[in-house]
Amino acid sequence: MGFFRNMFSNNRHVNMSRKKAAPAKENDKPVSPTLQDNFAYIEQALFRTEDLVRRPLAYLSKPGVLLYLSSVCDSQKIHETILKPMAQAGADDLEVVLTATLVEKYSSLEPVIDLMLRGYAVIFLEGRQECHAVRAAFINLRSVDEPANEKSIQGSHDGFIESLPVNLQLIRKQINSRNLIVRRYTLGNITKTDAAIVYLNNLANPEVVDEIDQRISAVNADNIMSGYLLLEYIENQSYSPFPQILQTERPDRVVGNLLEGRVALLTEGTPAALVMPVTFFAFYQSPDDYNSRSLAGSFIRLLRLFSFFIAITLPAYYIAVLSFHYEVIPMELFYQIKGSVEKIPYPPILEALFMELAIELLREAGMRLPSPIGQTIGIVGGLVIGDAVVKVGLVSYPMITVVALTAIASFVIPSHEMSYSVRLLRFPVMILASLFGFIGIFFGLTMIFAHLCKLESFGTPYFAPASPMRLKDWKDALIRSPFWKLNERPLDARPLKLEQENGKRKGNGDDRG
Amino acid sequence: MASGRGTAMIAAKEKITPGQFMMTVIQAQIGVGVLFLPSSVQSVAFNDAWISVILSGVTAFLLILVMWGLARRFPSVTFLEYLPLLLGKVFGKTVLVFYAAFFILECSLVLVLFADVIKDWIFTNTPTWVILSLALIASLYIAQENIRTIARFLVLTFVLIFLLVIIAAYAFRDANILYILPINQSGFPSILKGVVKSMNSFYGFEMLLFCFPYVLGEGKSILKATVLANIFSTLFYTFLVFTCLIVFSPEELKVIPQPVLYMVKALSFTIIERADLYFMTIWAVVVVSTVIAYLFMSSRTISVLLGQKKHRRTAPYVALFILIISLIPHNQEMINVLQTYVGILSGALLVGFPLILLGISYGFGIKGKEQPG
Repeated sequence: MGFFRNMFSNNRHVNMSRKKAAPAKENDKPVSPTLQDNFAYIEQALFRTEDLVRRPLAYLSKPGVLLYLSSVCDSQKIHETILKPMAQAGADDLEVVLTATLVEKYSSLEPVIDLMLRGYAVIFLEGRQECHAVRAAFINLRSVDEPANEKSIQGSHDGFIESLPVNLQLIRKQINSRNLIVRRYTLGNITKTDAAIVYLNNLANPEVVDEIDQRISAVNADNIMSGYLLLEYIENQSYSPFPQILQTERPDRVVGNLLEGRVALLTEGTPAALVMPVTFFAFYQSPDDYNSRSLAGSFIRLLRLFSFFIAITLPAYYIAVLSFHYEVIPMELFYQIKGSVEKIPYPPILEALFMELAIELLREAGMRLPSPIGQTIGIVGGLVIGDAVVKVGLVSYPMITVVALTAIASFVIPSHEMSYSVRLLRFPVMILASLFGFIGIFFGLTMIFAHLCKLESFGTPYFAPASPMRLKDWKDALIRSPFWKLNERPLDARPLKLEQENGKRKGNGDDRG
Repeated sequence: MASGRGTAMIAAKEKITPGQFMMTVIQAQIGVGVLFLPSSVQSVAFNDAWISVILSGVTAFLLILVMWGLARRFPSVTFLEYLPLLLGKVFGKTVLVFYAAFFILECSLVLVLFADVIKDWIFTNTPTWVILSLALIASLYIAQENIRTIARFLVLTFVLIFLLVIIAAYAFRDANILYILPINQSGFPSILKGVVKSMNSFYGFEMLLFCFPYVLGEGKSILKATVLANIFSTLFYTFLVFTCLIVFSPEELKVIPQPVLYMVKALSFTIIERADLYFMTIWAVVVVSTVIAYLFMSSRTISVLLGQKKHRRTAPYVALFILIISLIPHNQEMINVLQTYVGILSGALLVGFPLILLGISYGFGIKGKEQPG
């Protein structure tokens, strides 16, 4: 077996203890009093990159030099917060003179070079053994628009963008608690991406936070460009069909989860937060459930959970009925279906696979194309393929109905990740149904549910509150009870404080009349 | 004697609640009996079969008391670990071999009967080994895990039992209460014979011997959970047998092997026809739950015999072994022989031995340590 493993695995460190590569610190050069020395060193360290700008200046009639990378610095800011105050300066202390928000003093060059890559400008003065790094990063932000793939009807219409500080601000804006904590990380040996975990100190379970911290710290890779890349490093089982970390672009969804004692991970350059630990049911919750009244919210939520079963079993059920158990449907319906299916020359499983693949192709094509052409795809897919395919005799009408219903059901799920996994899972169930009928479907479902029972996300059971059964938590998982009924937080994230509201009222009875 | 020898503390991550334990026992008890119990008991106890089933439940209750009394004296170790303490190393291991054989045979019997029904009702031409492998693979997937995961899964599938009840209850519209009258028509000896026949469907409470140290809470709450489970199973079986007795006339019951299926086959719900097919599919999952319980117990026993700490590695081999054994009987006679063997073994190992062990434990004053923590 070792032979095969070597053939497929390109991980050279499998058997070595995973050690983080220590940053090269041996040649930490102190700041030299001569300007030319410093410049030469930095130019060397950046391999003579051509966006390095050298701007000679004079400060209190002493010669100096300003170095920065033009690609990451804002020339407007350099002018306003560095050059202008220095030209009008009276005091000797640069930190007093400069009007930038962040000015730091350094006596060695290596950390300064790292800062320059992050948008700092550095000032060297002749004769001084120290330099000043001033933050002048160029910030190019898009507005915090509503995310296109997580729209809500009611509720807030802002969304995360590609900037970590803005995203953090969106969260802090809604939780004005001193317990909200941010822990920062720098990830990726080459990319050095900023990341942060956010949680409520008095709610999130320290064990879970520690586990997340350990997993993030253990990542040793060159490229952690985005949160999505990080996701696979820290989730429990990458080969499970079910996503174990919730990705969302909606700040209100993150805030709701933080208040249940979960942890959110934000990454610079990623317009989404990763929420963990989450359960299966978290993927079926949407902010809309909470923004509408509880009866409506419960109805929609039950509908979504029902769609999970439709998406996985409906084509399989149809195949099983056609292949084995045609007697389970009423006679009249059976004749209708028979009339249509009779003209199809191959077994229902092939028919279903063909149609399912066609729908997946249409979806993929429609998504990649710009919206004006996307509509054409809709017409081609809906009218041409949908109608012509039956007339040609490739697929029967009932199959089109079944496949269309399945496709709709799989798009109801408010999380893309879960939608993908549901669409994947229906193929094995369909094949089982074509081989073993109802028994095959039930064995397929048994395996799926067994897997859900086995799966854990950061030490918390993934299928809670259905397994382990905790009926109290069904109030906010299967349905959405009125808020004054949700006295306790769900147990699955093991929050430190269970009580979240106190639904006592003045009169008697449950209904607040 | 050094009790508690070589017993690692049971991690909090492996503990289950009494509620979970209750449903585990129910799932282990309710299995193939759903389809076979009515006709097999009716064949000896006639229209008093339902009394036999209730009496079997009472017998099971007494056996549970004995097992609980035994398990209570060793609160931090399982049966597999205290058996050698009570009987000595060599004899203890020999007895364990018999227990392993019983669990494997019982599991095979369940599977043989399962495959039989599936072949009779749905897949006449599908080879038996395919049906059996399907059931065993699904069971193995969850039986390999620790007791906590198993309990979680069994709690989830517990809901399906109610579906069976609902489907079967619909048959009451065809009921004729006169079929069971007069009560005690067949006489007490026949009822007792019926008790012996129906006992096999109640086995599964021996999970108590394996799970006792894993259940959270005091000994009394564990007893309560087991007894409640037994009451549920008894009521469920009685309900099924009673329904069959009042729906079918005695003459009909003589000729049909799976009366429950025939009963629900006649039902029609406008959009759903042939409820028996749905009933059987749900029943398949209930059977798989029983197989999971027995696969767990047999692979645990065999792991101890082989000196393995975890049963994850041994479980696949045990499953393969069970598959081979279940392929041997290919006619009704051989199934009957297997049933007889299982009957004898269960009588000795689940009725006789726990009593003897309890006697030894009290007589020689052998006791286990209190559960730490």
